[in-house]
Amino acid sequence: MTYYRRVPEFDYLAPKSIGEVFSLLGRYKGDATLFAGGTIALHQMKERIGARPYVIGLKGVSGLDALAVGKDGVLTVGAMVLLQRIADSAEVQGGWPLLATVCRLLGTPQIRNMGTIGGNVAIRFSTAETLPALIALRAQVRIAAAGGETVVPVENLYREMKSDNLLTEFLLPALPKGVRMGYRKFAVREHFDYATVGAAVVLDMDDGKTCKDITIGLGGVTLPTMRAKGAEEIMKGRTVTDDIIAKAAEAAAEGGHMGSDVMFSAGYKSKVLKTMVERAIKEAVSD
Amino acid sequence: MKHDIELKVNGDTVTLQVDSRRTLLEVLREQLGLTGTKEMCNKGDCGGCTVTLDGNAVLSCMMLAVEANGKEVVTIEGLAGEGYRLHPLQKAFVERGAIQCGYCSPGFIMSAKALLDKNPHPNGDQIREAISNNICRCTGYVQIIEAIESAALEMGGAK
Ligand SMILES: Cc1cc2nc3c(=O)[nH]c(=O)nc-3n(C[C@H](O)[C@H](O)[C@H](O)COP(=O)(O)OP(=O)(O)OC[C@H]3O[C@@H](n4cnc5c(N)ncnc54)[C@H](O)[C@@H]3O)c2cc1C
Repeated sequence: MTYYRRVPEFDYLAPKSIGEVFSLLGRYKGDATLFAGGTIALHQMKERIGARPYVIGLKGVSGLDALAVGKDGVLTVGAMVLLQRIADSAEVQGGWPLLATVCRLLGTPQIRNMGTIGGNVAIRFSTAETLPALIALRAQVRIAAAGGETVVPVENLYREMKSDNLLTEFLLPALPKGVRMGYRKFAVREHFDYATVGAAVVLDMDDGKTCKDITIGLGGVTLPTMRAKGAEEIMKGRTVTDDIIAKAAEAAAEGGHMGSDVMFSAGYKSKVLKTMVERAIKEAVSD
Repeated sequence: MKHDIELKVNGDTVTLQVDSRRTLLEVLREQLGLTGTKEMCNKGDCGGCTVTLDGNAVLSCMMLAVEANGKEVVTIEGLAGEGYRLHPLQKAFVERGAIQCGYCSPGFIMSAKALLDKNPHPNGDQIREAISNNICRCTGYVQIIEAIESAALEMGGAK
């Protein structure tokens, strides 16, 4: 891979509103890149991956950086909210601690001070660490397009998001009282490296024994297989035992599709994923 | 495309013209002559280019200069006090042998500065977390962590 020190030439555009973003995208059809925190985008430009002659900076666009709980209890997280701000937010820590934990464990201080949640999701890497948590939390995402906007579950983003779409915000429903959460990531260096695989679990139990409801998001797997529905079905309505957790973890690892990478074979990752799911569920049970 | 920007760098307000594609690192080093901030990997892995932006540690190689418009940047050159008096972190790095070739030191010190400004009494884990984006290939990390601990003590004591 050739790596250039200098960034290729481009014009930097700084729209102030979502409307202006779309008029620029329309004017420079296919020639403009959206630029949020830039931690991936600038790197790709240096590597000449999809470099385009126009860069649309999103930092000055109003309406993309809300972090607030509405009257209906829904948490709105604007696409431009920095990962560190989510990790530090008392509201997120209180109501959606899974998301705060994921953001705190992701990357490094520098990356969290620069990277946005919108960029983490929009890139749609299988290793994007907020995705499994958002899926487990049944988050929705608002996608703006030139002709209007839609709101879809984050788990469907991989097929709903088109090029030149702008993610504007994430909507996280209030969780039932007493709901439990667990998160496990496997990374070569836990602080710094992307999670090779990971598991995010939201669990609702009746009388501390029966699984009333569960959602499981998997990290490091292909986007269409990030929600471990098969494993969820195994758990739902059943008494939670070590045995049933092991069965669910097995199903989750089977359902999650992944490839080999420079460090680990797909077979190894699948084994580790099973363990991560198992531990994340157990963590949720004792949460 | 050229942009007129205004930055506060180490306490001084500077106005300058930057090209769209220039990183904050390039502008600090090449336009402002502040070569204390280092370029190593140039892709976010090594932390050698760490500076603080409005008090937070960021990677200046991963940031466009035009996006720093209106912000306050502190580089390693901004730490020493009057009359060459070293900042407690700089002093501790020297005294504890946390420097060998010295190339990574500005980045480590700026990461540590961002930590201590927010959390004056960090524990060992918090220190390790704060420097997790910085790589040193000579000393290892033990002396660096000790240096940060001792600077924290000195700075806490001075208050
Ligand atoms: C050293 C290093 C370590 C890292 N470690 C981790 C890690 O441990 N875990 C992890 O998950 N990630 C990691 N990352 C990846 C990355 O920094 C984060 O995923 C970050 O959240 C990306 O956000 P950004 O705002 O910088 O995105 P950008 O780089 O600005 O954008 C990324 C992509 O998304 C598009 N985009 C951005 N915002 C929007 C939007 N609102 N709507 C539509 N498209 C948009 C851009 O066009 C671009 O293609 C790391 C990166 C580096 C350099």
